[in-house]
Amino acid sequence: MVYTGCMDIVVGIDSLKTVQEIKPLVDAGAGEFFCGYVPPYWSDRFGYEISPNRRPYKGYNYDSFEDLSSAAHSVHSLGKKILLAVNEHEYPPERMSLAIRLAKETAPLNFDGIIISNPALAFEFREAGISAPLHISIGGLANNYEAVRFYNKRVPGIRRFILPRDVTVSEIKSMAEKARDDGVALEAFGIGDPCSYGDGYCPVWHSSTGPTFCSWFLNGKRKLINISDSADNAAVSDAKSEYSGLVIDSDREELLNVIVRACGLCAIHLFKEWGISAVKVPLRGGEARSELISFVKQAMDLKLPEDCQKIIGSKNFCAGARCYYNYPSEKNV
Amino acid sequence: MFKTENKEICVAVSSLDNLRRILDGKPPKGSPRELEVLSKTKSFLGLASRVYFGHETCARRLPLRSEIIKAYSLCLSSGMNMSLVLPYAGERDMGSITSAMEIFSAVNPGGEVILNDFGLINVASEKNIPVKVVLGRLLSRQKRDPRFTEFPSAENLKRDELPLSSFSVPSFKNFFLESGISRAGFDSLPQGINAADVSGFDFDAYWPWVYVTSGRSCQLLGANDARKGKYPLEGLCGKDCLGAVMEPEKQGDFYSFQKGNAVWMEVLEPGTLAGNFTRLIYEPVVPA
Repeated sequence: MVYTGCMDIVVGIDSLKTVQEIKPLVDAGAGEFFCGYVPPYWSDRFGYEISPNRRPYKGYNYDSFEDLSSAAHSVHSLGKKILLAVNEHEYPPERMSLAIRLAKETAPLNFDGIIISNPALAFEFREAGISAPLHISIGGLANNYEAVRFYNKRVPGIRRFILPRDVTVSEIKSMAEKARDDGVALEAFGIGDPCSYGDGYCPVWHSSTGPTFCSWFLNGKRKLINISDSADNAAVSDAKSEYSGLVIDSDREELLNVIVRACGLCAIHLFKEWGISAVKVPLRGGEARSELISFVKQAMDLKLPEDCQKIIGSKNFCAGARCYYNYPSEKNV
Repeated sequence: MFKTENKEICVAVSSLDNLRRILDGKPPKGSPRELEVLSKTKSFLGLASRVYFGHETCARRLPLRSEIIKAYSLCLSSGMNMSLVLPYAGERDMGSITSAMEIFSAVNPGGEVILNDFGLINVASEKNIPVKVVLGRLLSRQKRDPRFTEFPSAENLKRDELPLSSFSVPSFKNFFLESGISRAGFDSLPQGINAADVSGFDFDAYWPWVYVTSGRSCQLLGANDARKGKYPLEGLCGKDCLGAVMEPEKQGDFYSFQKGNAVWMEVLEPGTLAGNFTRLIYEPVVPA
């Protein structure tokens, strides 16, 4: 089912409960929300390090049914949709059992969809009488359109596919054209929360008890070891940091580094043109959501990177590791 | 070090050059650390009856048509079977990787392809390409980390929960059985693998190099290019990874490094592998 008309902005939330708290995000342009839930029967057994979703951090999830219920009710009373993320990659038997229990417990809240990565959840949920539409998360590895077809042929109840971060704009265009022909809904990342590697193929620890693996591996000093035939005793040099060549010469860029971290604004008007159903703003645990949502909303009608740079208040922010899609290619550096 | 009885021993190789070297009884090329590990494990080379040839993580390193044909010919001449290993695919990579599958099936109808991508599994089925699909280890996503002792903080979880996989859930296993797939790969993880309750499926154990993570935007390519940071997908790739690997200055409990677009960790002594592990996929060096 393709969403016709406007392209939704999908925003992660983690603690907001009341209409007063959520309405500013709606006013900024958010049309859908997603969240995670770690109930006591899960955290008592597994803590937060082994999570039912891809944010294994206490502060990134609702941990009481009452708070989750308030959030869902508030979103619905504002006329918007809310999705539940149950999107960790692996669910061995006990975790699968608890994921089903979690989905059944939250069913009365009428979530507008459940975001999953593990295809078995689709069958287990249906078996348990859970009928909410399914969104395939980036952990579900719909990284090309044949993977979309793979799922649609085999897995019931899918409404939308979330494209991974590491795709090119031309690949999104290709997939969007095919999706339009097939009546399939796609969602793409717009701003915030970059990933140094590729989430779906990243089974590494994502825990809150220490730095993430990618931060630990990439942000410290690294050595490049020459192993070519002409190497002279495997010469060693220092690898430059992911962000080392990027200019930060203003307080605004420093702020953007913290609150935005990664940006795909200049491609958003193309997503709208191509019929992408939603733009993802993954801000669970993040701040300044209203401002970022408004960036995305404004970007839907912009054509030039220079216009996006005016929105975010920085020209230098557009480069390298902070650019989701490096679009237009090579012109940002 | 690793029990081999009742297992088919396979050797994982990503380049024609290294395949030639191995078949000629010479050590493959690798980094100093890889060669150090090889010196401890090389006895497994002589036990192999099958080659897993190809690349798991990078479409840019897809073997050429001529390399696939040559690799198969070399394996046949040496009395070995060959399975073709293919990487996961972005939309732009589907054509070339599908062609690789077709080329292999033309010289070896019914031969095995090791797939790490749902789209490629679908293509093999939709186009009736005569191959036997095996799930690659990238689709088995148990948690792993070179800083193993830090996560999770509860020892009982590390012992009891981390070795488990989704294959112990019948609906997950059946999802693949119904697509004609009955073999899947696992890394030989520090915590081990517990697939003892899984029937009707065969498993591969990859050893001693464990896959950690990877990305289509290559961190290794970007390491020398400070303008770009993480290397853009649109950027040209000169396969610089053939000439360098990348290590963190401070290692975790297990040695890790980036080779190609992926990070790998060295696990010479994995935990217990319980289940129908009928193949050992021996990696003399990281097949990247």
